[in-house]
Amino acid sequence: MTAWLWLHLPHFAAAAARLQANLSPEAPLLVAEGGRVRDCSAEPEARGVGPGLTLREAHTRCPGAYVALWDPLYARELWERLAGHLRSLSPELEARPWDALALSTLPKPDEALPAVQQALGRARALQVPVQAGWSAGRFTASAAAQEADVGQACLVAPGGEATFLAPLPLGRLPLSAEVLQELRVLGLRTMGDFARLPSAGVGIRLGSQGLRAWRLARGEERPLPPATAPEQPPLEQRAAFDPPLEWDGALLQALQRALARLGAGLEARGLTCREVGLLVGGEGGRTWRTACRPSEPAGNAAGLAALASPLLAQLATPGGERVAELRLWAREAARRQGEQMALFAAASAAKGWLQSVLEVAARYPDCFWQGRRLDPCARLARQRAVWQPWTDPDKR
Amino acid sequence: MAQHRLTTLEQTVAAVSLRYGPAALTKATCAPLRRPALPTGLPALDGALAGGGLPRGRISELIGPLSAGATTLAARIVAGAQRLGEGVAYLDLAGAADADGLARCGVDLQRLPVIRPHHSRQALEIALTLVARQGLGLLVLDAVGDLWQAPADGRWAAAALRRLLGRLRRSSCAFLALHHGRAEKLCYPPGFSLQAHAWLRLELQQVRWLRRMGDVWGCEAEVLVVQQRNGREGQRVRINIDFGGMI
Repeated sequence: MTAWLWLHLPHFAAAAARLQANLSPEAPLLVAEGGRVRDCSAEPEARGVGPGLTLREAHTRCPGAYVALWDPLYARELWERLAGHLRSLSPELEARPWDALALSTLPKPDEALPAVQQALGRARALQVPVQAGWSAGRFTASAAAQEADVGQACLVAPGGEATFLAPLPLGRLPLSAEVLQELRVLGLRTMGDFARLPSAGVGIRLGSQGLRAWRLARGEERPLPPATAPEQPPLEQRAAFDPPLEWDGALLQALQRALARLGAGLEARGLTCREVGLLVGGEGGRTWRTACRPSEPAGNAAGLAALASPLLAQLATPGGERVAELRLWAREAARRQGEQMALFAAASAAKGWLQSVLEVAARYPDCFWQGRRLDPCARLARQRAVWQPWTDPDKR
Repeated sequence: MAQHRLTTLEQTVAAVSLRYGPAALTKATCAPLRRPALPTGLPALDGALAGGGLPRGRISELIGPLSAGATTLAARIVAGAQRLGEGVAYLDLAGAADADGLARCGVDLQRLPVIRPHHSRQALEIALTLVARQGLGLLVLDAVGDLWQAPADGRWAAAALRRLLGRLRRSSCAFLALHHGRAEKLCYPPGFSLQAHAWLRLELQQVRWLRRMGDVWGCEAEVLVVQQRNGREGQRVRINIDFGGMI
């Protein structure tokens, strides 16, 4: 269990250029690349300057701004220095160049607080503006960082993720523009609105991408536990009897039950067996062993339960000693191949027939029709069902 | 040595399956049984028919006067064949098939191609093509009387029916031809006596309407096995034909 400290670096390019040009922190600054603004400091941004704007337009809006050319080598060096400082705080560091740094921390807020403070202090020492967010989940930590003030940290307590995320805009979620537009049309504006939707509806309308975003909006970022296969009955059955059973109907019933369980185990695995072994233990420690081969491979509860009588009949009836233990096992188990082959053949024949109809229908285009049920309770026959041209069943 | 032979056999089977598909080789114990007859879905009628249904690869005729329930019975047979997973096609020469009625009889409309040809030649061409494709379990012709309007059509129809007969014998398709009219007034293509080639001829006679709370819900009909090549003829079977709320 770890938590995440997310460091959002707004205007990192401007900070690097300011350091390189040795400008005062208050001086308005534009970072240019190819005749356009790549980044700017807070004051030009407040006057409407943003990335992508031409330098002429940016100067018109913010006349006194200092223009620095973008130097990726110097920015890389500054980035590496910051990352090197942070790497000493956590063994796990993820970098998203020029935008954000994420590092794992201890899971409790009070334990992680020193690391948060140290990270902020090291960024401050390098004169890099940083916003910090801390949470148990990475997405919530990034959202918290964007909500924090520059040079400050926003910590989200474990369990409070959904409450924190609820008022944030929906656009923060990793959803495509089309899906976001669809959600806006539905009247959803915040993550809380989205998180209140039923998961089944989200899955049907938006698919796996929507479900993932829905889980993020609810603050559920832990990976789902892996699906476990249902436990299958073993291919060996044991039964102990206390008090011991007589060699009568009770033993036959117990044997039938054990055989049925063994058959269920085979059926669950898609297997059949050619031989069933039986070991009967007497109360005095004596054992009897036998085996039975059904006429054809058996692979279900009913098929194996029918072997109870022949199995008991093969055992020589002991004199006076009662049965304390029973053990059954299946031998020569093999995959039920024949049934699968028959099913596959039937399915391919049915598909082949429909394909034939499609080919013939293509030759006689307006002769093949299919019925379509409309409203079975309608008053007029033409409202109950209609004829329409035949189409490929796979494409309907 | 025996183990070596078994391994070689398994390898051969795997190679054949890989090359020609999994249906190319099937164990005899696991092969889906292809019954020689297609069950009608009416146990009483199946009991009277040799093989327990309409013979595959042969022509069967169902003769019934108008409103006797012949079309409904045919629709029930279609629904039963679909339930068995058979491919079914319905040649509707008069263009009078009722989609709602078929659905009420339990027919899966999505899997039933209804063929409405422009003329009888086209109808027989389509029938010949479909039967030749293999995989068709039942082909219903509604009705034989609409196959020709002029004597020239009749001669061509007779020739096409002969070809159809040959292709049917090589397939596992049951062919059910409907006649709407009385048995003594049936009209066959000149030069081809369908009744002589039909393996099975059934005549349907309505006995009485079946009513519930004053409403007709079906009819009781008597099916007479007029002709049956491999079984007893002259049997009479009483069946109840449920119209499925059509009336």
